Amino acid sequence: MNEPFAAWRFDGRTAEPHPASLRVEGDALVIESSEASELRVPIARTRFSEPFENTPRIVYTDSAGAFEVPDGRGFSRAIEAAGFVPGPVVRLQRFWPAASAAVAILVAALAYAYFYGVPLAARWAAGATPAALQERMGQELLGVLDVNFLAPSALPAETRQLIEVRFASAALRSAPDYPVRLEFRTMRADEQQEEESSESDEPPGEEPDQTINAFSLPGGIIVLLDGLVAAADPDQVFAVLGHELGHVVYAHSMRQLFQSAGVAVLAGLAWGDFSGVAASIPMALGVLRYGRDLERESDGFAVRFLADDGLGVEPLCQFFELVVELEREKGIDDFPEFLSTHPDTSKRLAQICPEKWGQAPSALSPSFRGAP
Amino acid sequence: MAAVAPEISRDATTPSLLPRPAAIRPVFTGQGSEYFRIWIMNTLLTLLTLGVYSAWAKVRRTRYVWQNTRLDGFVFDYHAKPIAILRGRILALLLFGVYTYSFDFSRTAGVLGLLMLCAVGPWLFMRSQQFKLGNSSWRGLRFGFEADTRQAFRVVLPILLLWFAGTVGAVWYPTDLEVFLWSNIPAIAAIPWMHHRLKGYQHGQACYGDRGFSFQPVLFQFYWVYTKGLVLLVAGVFVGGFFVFSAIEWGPGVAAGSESDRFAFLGGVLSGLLALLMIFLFSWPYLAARIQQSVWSTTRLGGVRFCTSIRARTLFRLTVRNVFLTVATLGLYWPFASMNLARYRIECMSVESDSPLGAIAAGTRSSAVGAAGEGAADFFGLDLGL
Repeated sequence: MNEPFAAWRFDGRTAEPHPASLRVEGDALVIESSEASELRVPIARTRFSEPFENTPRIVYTDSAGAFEVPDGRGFSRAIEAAGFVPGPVVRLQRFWPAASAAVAILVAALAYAYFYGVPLAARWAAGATPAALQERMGQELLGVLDVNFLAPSALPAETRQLIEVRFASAALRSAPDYPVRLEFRTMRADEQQEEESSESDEPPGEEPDQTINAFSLPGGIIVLLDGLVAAADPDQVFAVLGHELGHVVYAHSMRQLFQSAGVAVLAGLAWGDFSGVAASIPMALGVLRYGRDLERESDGFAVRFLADDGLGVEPLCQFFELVVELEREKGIDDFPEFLSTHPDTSKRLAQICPEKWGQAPSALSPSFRGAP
Repeated sequence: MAAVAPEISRDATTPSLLPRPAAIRPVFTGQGSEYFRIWIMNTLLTLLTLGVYSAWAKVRRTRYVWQNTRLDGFVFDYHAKPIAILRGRILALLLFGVYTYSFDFSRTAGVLGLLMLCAVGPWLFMRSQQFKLGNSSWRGLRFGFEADTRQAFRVVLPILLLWFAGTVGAVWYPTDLEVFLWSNIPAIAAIPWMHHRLKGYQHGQACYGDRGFSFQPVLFQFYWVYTKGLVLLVAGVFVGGFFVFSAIEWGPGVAAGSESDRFAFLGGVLSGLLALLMIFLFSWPYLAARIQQSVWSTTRLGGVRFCTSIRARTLFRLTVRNVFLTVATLGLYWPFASMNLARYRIECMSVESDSPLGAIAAGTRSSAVGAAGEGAADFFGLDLGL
């Protein structure tokens, strides 16, 4: 009943194989070989190599050396019959239904982590980051931008003061618990030249930069570019600052940082085994989608901010209409949304002032994620 | 009762009468279908445990490949303790995190991070080799890696310093082209030298039983292989660039005007990815095959010589197939692909020995494998995968 298994014994002194035989008796292995008498070793005091379909099993003992059993499958059955079963993962690995279930669970877990887990964790992590650290990061980041891309604002001091005073008092009312600092800058001319041709086709000149933008950094820093102040009226500038204040209040720049780290981890866990490039594609698209979610959240804040002020959403709508107009002029209004950091401007309009823009002006392709 | 003799007959006490020993070729018995089930469990558990299981996955994967590799009728085995690998991974993650994000905080923090990497990197590299080899065995004897800390620093530190010069230059003078070139060109020109230095270190310090591996420098060959690899890379850029160009020029975009600009844009993105793939496909198989040839042709283990018949062309065909099927199946073909690749790379090797391999004895260099299996009795294990 307990048939012996042919084996090669290695004594650990040389690489020379010696013929031996093993058989299972109760909870012990009985070892026979030509050079020593019969030996009983309790199975509990040995270690086995992992069982696979086409491999020999190797038994490691402390006193008698290592035994390589060519009939790995038969020997595995004998050990398991004696009650020494491998762990649950090894047993599951043998069955195709378990493998198929694992594929399904994997897909579901990935989707859940991406849509809920990562944003939630990033929100928590951003909240847990000390304010002093955030402030420092924002300051450092602004320093890097100043060295590389930005120049001091060319706006008259009184214009800046007007904007600043109006925004500061409104911010104090709408978001009293969040320290905000407004910084005026312009894009540096020599940098603009090097940007992609789609951004600016004008020849470099002495004229002030036209880049219409404002952005927020960690620690409550909001950077307003001269180009935006030049293109928009004071109410519209005020509305855009309300949107940026939303980014500050929801700690979006910190959350963005944590979210991209989270997606990198997720992509690495799922695909990193075979290719860094393959892992980076879903990662890049995934991070962009998060960015669009944050923009929508900030737009929502801006609407409340403007309502608090009694101004209403009209200036924000006007600003986005301006952006739509400019995008159309530049011919980039068809830029696919899923490759963009911001939602389609027309969709943002539809969300902010539904009575006017309830129907999106151009029926664009559905976004990557489907319904927003 | 007499011992039952195994079917494989051998008589190691009689010296071989052949004038030149026949080459022994390893056989790989791993199967994609079996590895798929191991891989999917590994991936799922890694995800569900937020990466903690990856250490266990690493051990399972390595065991599968080692135990399915037969040389002279006997298989290899891997004894690493997952918990040691987990500790090593946490350490590596911390270091890598510091390196990645320290420049986001400040330049000082960034430079401190780099200095820290330089201070521990060579030692970690040495330990990772010791861990990997010390936990691998064949015929009841362990492999090993003989090295001391001073030598590790002498070998690895110059590589790290050269490599980080570009990073530091880019942080201090981000827009200065001259600084960029002067801090990066030496590092790029030295890549073959770095690779050769690390390979030489890995192969020269490895040991099995009482014998040490030896490695004769082949630096010139490395430069030759990399130069030809660069030519193929340029060819890949041209082929990839052709896809981009054709998508822009003859794609639907231009003719139909701005309406389908975004299709042209999408075409551009896709063809850009295709271009990357081409670059990878053209140069990687060539480099991998030729480097493997150079390294093993000059590696010895006492009287044991190694040889590989790996061919760049075959590896290229295999890689194209693997990449295509893996992408087409959203990754599910990956375990099959990696088994194909492992089979080809392993079965191309051959080993020639003047004396029977069984004569190799355990030495002070490395010990036998016991029931506990602890090899490099390590608090943490690093496997850098180099």
